[in-house]
Amino acid sequence: MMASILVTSITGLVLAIILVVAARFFAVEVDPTVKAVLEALPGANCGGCGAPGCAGYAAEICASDTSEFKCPVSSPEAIAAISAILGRELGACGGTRVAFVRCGGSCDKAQQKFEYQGIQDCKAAQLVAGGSKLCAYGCLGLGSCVTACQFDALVVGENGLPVVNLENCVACGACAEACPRGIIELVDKDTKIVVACVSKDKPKVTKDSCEVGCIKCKICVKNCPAEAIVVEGGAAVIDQAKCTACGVCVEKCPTGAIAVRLAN
Amino acid sequence: MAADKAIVAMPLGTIYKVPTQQHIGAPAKPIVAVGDTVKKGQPITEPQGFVSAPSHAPTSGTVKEIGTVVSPVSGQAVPAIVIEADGQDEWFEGLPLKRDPLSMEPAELLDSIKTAGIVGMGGATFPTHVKLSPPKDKKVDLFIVNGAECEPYLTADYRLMLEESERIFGGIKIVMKILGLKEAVLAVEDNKPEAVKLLRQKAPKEIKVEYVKVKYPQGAEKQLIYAVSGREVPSGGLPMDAGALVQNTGTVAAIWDACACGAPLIERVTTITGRGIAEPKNIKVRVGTPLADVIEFCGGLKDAGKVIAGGPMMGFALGSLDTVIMKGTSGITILSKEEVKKSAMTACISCGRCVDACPMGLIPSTLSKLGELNLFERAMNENLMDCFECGCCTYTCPAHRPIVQYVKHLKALSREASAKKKGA
Repeated sequence: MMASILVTSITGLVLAIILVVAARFFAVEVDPTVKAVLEALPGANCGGCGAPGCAGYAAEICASDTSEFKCPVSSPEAIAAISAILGRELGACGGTRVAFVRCGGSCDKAQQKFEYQGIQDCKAAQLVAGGSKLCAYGCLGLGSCVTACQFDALVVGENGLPVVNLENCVACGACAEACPRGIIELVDKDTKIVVACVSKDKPKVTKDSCEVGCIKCKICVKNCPAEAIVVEGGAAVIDQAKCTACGVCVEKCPTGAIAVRLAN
Repeated sequence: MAADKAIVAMPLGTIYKVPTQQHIGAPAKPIVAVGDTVKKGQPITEPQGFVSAPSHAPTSGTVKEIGTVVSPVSGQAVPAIVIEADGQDEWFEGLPLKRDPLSMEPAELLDSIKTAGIVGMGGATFPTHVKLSPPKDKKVDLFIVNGAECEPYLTADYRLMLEESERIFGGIKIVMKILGLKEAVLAVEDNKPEAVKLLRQKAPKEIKVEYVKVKYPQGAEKQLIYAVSGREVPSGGLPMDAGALVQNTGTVAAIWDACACGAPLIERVTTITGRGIAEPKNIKVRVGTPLADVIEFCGGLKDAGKVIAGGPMMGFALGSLDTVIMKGTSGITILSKEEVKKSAMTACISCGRCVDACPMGLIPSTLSKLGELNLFERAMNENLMDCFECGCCTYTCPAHRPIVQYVKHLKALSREASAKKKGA
């Protein structure tokens, strides 16, 4: 009895000494600034800044002397805290952009090519005969973007299209990355008028597959008083720098592909 | 279903759409322009690189458009050359040739195969001239001709063996000459005794016709090599690593046409079958024929639930009939509404049936779970790439899990990641 207690205690003591020595000699030196910045960052590891995770970005921002702050998730308080740690003023990021789903082809408006059965994931569904929607560019509605979102900012609505919760969206871009059809775009929060279609199909094909697709008729181009719209190759594109949000295009668009964003 | 239906040639159509990529490897480049007149067998695309294959005009006519067609394999629109037939069906100058291929040099034979655009016609569509040029350090001493045709419903190879065995034997002799072999094995599943009886009567003595057990997927390359010789192809390896080479019966028949007549691969035998088609048939059809024409020739759809390019196990479900017959289309299976089972997938119950069923000794249940989580890197460690998507696991799964779809999904994710790595 005594012997076993003794053996265990001595083994424990010896191992503890080894660990202490090892911890002292092999310790990895971490820059306390990096550590402090990392603690102030949100810790979501969403990748919105472009770095692999928060730790990567903390190291990056400490090593540089830029005033540009790339984390879209951090609150103004957190930015102030990080500015204080680094001793330089950082500009605000995030809050200015949000995700926008560039497709209006909901269940009742876009035609289905066939009935899809299988994995409920857009990337996987895309591999089966190119997706079940007749339009090769439209939203498949299986919610890969919803799964990718860490901030509860996306849900697939009743009409089969993802809806962005503007309160929660931090514009990290994870949804845009997850979408196999590249429909999701990060737009300025104040953007008023948008084209909810990315189809590159010929007008007739679009017309046959979706009620609200852009048919490249260029009526919007001709009517825009600010000359902010172009139709080149694909669907109409609005130059947001020129757009005055007068709403003429929304009124003139024969299919309703151009919409007032915040209204829906 | 179509096993006792003799091969019938499909009459000439009016429009053919020939995809520029009907093979594994680099896409071929179109060498004709809109408005050009083409003759039957005239090359219309030019291969890019060694692992590539040209395509040829299926009939004489004019090039109407260089547009796109929906690929029956990927479901995506792919570049294609649209030819409007003139109804004359005239051969390209100099064709067909009349020559004795067995007096030709191996290099000459290989060249004929290459210019004829021959690819693996069992469905894998790997360029045949590449497969027939193994590197010098790999010695191939076993040549197997795949007449197993293990995929249910499909009977194109069976009919070919019954009706056109001379072409098959001729092609086998050519391959033997190229590889410098004295013997070859023609392996047929033992549910086709008529074919074996006939082939044994007609076969020259250097070609052995052998039975293999009926067991899906017996006709898969690695499984067939094991069944015939007991040799195993190492994981990630090719048949040549086991000293073996396998060719489909349709491919060897095409090799004969290419070497004896100089005829390019513009026509193949394919099975149109299933309960969803009015008259199941084995047809000889030109490459690039629109599927809708083929369906019409077979009496049209009847109560069709699902149209599959290929057989029910490994085929690709089609989204529409707006596609074409390609070099690798071994069949079109049309299932009736009743046969298309609709069942919701549930969680894996770890019963292990898929593990028993997997011919490659993989653990499909694990792969499907990794697929749910998009963990393709871990799936690679589970030998994801050894899976050839035979479908046995999905067929046997009592939880109705789409395991093969998960595998395809994981492979796609892995391809995407490596493409990104390369780009970065």
